[in-house]
Amino acid sequence: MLEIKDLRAEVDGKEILKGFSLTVPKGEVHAIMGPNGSGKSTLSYVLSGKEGYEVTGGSATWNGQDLFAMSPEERAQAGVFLAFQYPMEIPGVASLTFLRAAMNAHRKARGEAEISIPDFMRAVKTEAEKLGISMEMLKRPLNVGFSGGEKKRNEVLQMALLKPTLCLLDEMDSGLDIDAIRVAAEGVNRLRSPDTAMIVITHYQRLLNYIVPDVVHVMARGQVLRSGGKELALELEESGYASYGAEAA
Amino acid sequence: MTIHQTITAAATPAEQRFLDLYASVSGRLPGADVPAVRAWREEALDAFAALGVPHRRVEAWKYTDLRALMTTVHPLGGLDGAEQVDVNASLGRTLANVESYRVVFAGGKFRPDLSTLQGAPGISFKPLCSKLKSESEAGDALAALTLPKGDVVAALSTTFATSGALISIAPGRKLDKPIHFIVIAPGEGNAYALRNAITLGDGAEASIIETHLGAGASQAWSFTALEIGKGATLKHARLTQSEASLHLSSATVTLGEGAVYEPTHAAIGGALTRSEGTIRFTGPHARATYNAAILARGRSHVDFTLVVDHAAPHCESRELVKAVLDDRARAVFQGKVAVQRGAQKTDGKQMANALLLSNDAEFDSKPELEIFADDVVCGHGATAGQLDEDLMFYLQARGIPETQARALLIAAFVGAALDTVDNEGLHAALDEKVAAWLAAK
Repeated sequence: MLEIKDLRAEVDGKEILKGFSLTVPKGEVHAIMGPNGSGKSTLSYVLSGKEGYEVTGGSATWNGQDLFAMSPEERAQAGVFLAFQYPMEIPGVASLTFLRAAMNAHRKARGEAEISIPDFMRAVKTEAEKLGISMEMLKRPLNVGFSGGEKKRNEVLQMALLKPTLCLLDEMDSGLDIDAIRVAAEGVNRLRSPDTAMIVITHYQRLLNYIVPDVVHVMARGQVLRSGGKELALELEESGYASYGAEAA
Repeated sequence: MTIHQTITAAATPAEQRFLDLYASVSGRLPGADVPAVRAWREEALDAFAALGVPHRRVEAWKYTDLRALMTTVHPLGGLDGAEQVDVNASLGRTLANVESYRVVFAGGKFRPDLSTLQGAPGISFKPLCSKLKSESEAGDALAALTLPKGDVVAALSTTFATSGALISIAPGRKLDKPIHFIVIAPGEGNAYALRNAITLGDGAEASIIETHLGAGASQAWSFTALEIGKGATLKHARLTQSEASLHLSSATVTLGEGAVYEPTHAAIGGALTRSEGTIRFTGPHARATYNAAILARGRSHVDFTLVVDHAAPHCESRELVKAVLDDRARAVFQGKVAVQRGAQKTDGKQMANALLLSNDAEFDSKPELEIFADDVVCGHGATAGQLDEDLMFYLQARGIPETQARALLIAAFVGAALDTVDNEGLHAALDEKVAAWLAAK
């Protein structure tokens, strides 16, 4: 279970998260919706440990482990996965090299031996096929020259291979057309399980047609202002965020 | 006594050390009793004496003050018996496994017992020392070993050359494996000098690997003249890797019409490395792609100085330098692109990027364009920066530990300069050397 209590965080001395609280039990998918500037991406960075995001109060635990006591890599190894809104391009690092390094880092943390090259290739091929990613593409530098849709599918591929238990999907739909959203969302849905918790951060209801949430939260001004069922997303689509003290996104 | 005194040109202490060294070894150098060879050496010594040991007020040596940095001149090695060396152990397993014709120089001496180039098909190979010792053969050798003007490293290499190689590849010959020059400085506190001349006949294709290794506080001076014939292709990978040595090298490369030259130089460690080169296009439609990777820490000083001389039209030159600098290391890239009158349609570009891992590391980049033709495309760029924190976070957010993430990004950074090496074994060996350097801290 993810438990965030009264979380406060600053970026460059400016408080962005102002007493954010949220509980996501295992097996559930929670959507966080809100206008630009409400702190949604900050929340995902704070939970995954990005430098420059300073926690000034509150707590966050995953399965009882204090996330803030861990380095970014330790959090990842503990099952936290941030699917980036804008995945980085890393020239010179082939996707396959990166995937193998990441998988082995997880295995090492669990006290397991490195994955053999044939096993690794088999695992990658199986998952890549489901997402329509060619092996040729994975020989290229990570995300370099990839379209928006390819980058997002690559994020889902990483999730599939690393098997995280807490997934933070930061605006997965941004920059994608409907077809690309559908492919990426189907990939995410395959990863839903009774042991996995997911937070889907989005502006728009349309992504939630594909990744159907158990609970929807409205976030504005660094806090959760309202929570409800999946129908809340439809209501927000109709009325916008104006009633939460924000301009329409 | 008058107020005016005669001023005589006196050698500085640094210069005097070289003059003294020559005086002490001249009688024992290869070909010492052959008058033409002696004259050849002394012409080079005169050239050195006229040029002096370069210092920061000499423009080409502005960032590498040899007078200040080279406080001693080691005794010349390669005059006495051969030293024990284990070539494969020195190279490391991956590099040792690269199939090649070997030319081994250890301690300044050519080692026929460790070399395999002798008798290779289509290749004429003569060790310099044997040519110089014979009055009848010296003439041919000296004709191929002319001294470029104003090149102090070439002058020193010529004066003190104890060995080197004269290689010529027959026209149209495509070598089945690379020629690997392996230069090992096994001893502590010696200096070694080499002179090489390599010619590729028209349409020939060859690949040269040059590995300079040193374990102790050695000094090496080398000069290589390369002539690439019409339509010929030469791939030339150089690795200089010494823990605590001074390595001064210079090369002139001449490209005929339609010739292709692809040099890649990786300098890993070393107290002081200065690699100077001139690539001259003498025929149209020739191409040169120069890639360099520098990995330096501690107080290492690495200087790559390159002049690309477009003396013919329709030629293309590309330069890419990647430097990774830690601690108080310093790297220099001086890249001059000269376009002569009439060298229209020249396409010349250079880029130098440095990754500074410490606040005390320094990168000096001096691009120069000198253009006397009006229909050309030439450009240059230089950057110096630190590791991208966003990229670091991306890797760490996937569970990759900080040290490994850093190593991946640095290896990728220098990898861009090493990617032109298409010999898989060599590429793997270079990657391994880079990884070992990264792991050493």
